[in-house]
Amino acid sequence: MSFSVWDAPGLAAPLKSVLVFLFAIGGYFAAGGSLLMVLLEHKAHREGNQPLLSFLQDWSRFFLLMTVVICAVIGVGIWLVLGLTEPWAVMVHARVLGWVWGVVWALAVVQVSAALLYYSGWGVTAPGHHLATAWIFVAAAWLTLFALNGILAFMLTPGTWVATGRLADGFFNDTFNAGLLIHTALALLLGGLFTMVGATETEPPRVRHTLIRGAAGFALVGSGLLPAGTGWQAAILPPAAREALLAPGSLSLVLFYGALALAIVMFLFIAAGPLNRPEGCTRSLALLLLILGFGVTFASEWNGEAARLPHLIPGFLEVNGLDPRDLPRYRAEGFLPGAAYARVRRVGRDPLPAGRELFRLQCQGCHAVRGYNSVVRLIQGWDVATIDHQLGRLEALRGSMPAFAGSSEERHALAEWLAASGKESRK
Amino acid sequence: MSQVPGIAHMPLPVAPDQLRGMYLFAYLVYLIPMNLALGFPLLTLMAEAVGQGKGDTTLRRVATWLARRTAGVVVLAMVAGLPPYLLGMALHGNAALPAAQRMGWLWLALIPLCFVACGAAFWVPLRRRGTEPSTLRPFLPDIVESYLLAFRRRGLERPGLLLTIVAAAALLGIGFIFIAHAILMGRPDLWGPGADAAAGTVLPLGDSQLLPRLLHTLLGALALSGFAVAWHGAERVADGESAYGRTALRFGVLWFAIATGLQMLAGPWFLFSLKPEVTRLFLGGSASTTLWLWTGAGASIVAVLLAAIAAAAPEPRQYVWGAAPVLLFSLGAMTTVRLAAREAVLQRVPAEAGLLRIPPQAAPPGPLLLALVAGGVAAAAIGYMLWAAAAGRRRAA
Repeated sequence: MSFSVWDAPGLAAPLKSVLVFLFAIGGYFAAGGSLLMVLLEHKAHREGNQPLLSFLQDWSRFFLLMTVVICAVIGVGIWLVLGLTEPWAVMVHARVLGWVWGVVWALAVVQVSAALLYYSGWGVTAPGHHLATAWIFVAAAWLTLFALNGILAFMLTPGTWVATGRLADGFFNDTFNAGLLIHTALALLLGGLFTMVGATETEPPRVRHTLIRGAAGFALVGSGLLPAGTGWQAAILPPAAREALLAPGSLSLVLFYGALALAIVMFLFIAAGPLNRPEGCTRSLALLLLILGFGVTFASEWNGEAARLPHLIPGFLEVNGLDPRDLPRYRAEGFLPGAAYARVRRVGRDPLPAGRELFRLQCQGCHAVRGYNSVVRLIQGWDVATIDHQLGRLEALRGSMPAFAGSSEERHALAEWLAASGKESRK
Repeated sequence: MSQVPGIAHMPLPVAPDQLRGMYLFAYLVYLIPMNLALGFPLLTLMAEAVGQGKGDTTLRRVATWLARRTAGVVVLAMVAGLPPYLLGMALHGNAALPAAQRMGWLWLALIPLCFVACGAAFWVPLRRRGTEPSTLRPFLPDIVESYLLAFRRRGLERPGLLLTIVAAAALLGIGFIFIAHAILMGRPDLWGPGADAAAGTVLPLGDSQLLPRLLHTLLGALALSGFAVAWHGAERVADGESAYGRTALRFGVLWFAIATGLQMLAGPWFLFSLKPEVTRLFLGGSASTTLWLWTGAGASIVAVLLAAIAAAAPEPRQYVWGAAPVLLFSLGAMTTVRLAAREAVLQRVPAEAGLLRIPPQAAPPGPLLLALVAGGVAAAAIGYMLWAAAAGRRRAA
């Protein structure tokens, strides 16, 4: 292993998850909300509806803040955090997917430019060009979803890429289409729900009702497509990934079925409520629907991670930076002697320093000793022999764990250290 | 049989020299908005302070122009930062990533600082007078909404100035962190294998490069921002707005000249703070590096002279337009020199951490071509939108 690790146990996973979730919210809103906005602007021009145009002018400011400020900063933030917590992921993205990220970046520049020019172009840029600017944003935002979906699907089901090394084999893979349907559905859902909240205090009522009905239509389509996409993806996942996602008693199982149920409930509620009777849609109701939309988005993002773990790219790289193809070598020669940043090179008479180092290099990205995903809690009541035995079958023990990489001597050292940490925490 | 090598032997996406060329281009594209983002809020404060002191409302208009443009350049700097980040990681990730980990907590602080800088910068132009309904309102709890509306009623100047100070402080903080990281990259004794460094709190505060490098960056930002203001002034003069345009032109040229002049002192200080073997590269040790450094420095002096002529000329626009490519050349030369210095410093990175030490392999051209086509389409789309906006403004004028 050639990478160093950031000594902030247990912080990596939650920090990255929060940023990815926030980025997803902004990205989905950018794609879905922009489409709704441009369609509403067409309608406003067609009908000569000045109050609707005024709303859209004001709304484009919120849109600018969400898409440019929030998305740009969080997008940068994700890269910064990845550099700390999963440097191997940065290297994979830079060296394997670098040109795809080049495309994503070009699309991001178009989006930022379009958002700024659309906002500043009200009353200045000719309506036809103003609308064209908005359509350019819509196209760039959806193509960004397309590209990011390809990257995420590549990380979930890389297809034959591991064997062929051809990027296209990994990018257009088994779950690409299902993922694209899920992401498009979430974009329509969140684009509609955000706009619905923004419209609730608009005057006059006629314009408010037009806006709410349009927004509800988007959210309806999104909530209707989401269960279809989620079910499709689950059906075509590789067996191991499906088992990890739907493991009995797991949080991902609850979130999977919870998201499906919630999407269906939202579909029915939106159809009966805001779409049918927009005059009854209050700010509180719209905010509640938006929060539910966040919940569905969170569950969807979580499930994507749950199905992928413990791999960064199956068959190529695990989340802790280890290549599963190297396992036989680690078992034969040991892990520590070849780890560039190991502070302890071999198991000594006292096995604890080596055990601690193994935990630092292989486990602490996801586990704190005590605290987030506490390892001490997980091994509560186990003796050294039990821990050692379980370490030998980690990948079978829990679907989301990578195999232990190292010799039997190193595995025993880790077991000793974990047991000692457990005893210390009970004191 | 698997054909993809392991992560430790992953080839570069293109040959190293091509990758270096792309990195240089991407860094140059990033360097301009990054310098403007750091320099604009500082010049805003200068223009506002001097304008208030002298009762010069025209200069205060320059401050307003700068404050309103800060948001755009901050976000452009962030967006333009991704390509050099990724290309830089592909080239120097072996040093950049562990160095970032050793100063991890401060590295992490970049995220809130970016939020503060971007948020404050955007709030200046997006702030609205009065209490008219806003689509932001349904998203805000009543107490926040009341505060924001009260805030708006206090007038433009004070909140705008306060926000500019906040943005400037955050951007200076970001600049400091990146400089500390760049220095740390060249100190494998603090992050390399075997370094017994504290987790996430290492900072090269005692390093001799820190102060001159900070000064060098700050002066570069002020110089480039000064030139941007001079450009804006020359354009206004050409558009017939003479009084305002001349004020902006003189103010911009003044800061461009002062900062570039001081750079002539800070630059050598920075140069001699480097390791002697690196310094020697610039003093004849490497013919190309020496040539780039001194032609780059010479070009910046020529650009200042052209800008100074512009400040006194009846039609300044042509001189400013003439100075722009000279300044761009200077920036390109300095970017090249920076990469040469970095790679010379990184020669000292221990071999066992050397992810880059991999024989490059031929990469398929398809993905690269796709990225280039996407870039071309993106440039065309942006060109069209800028043209449409400019046409609209001309018509409105």
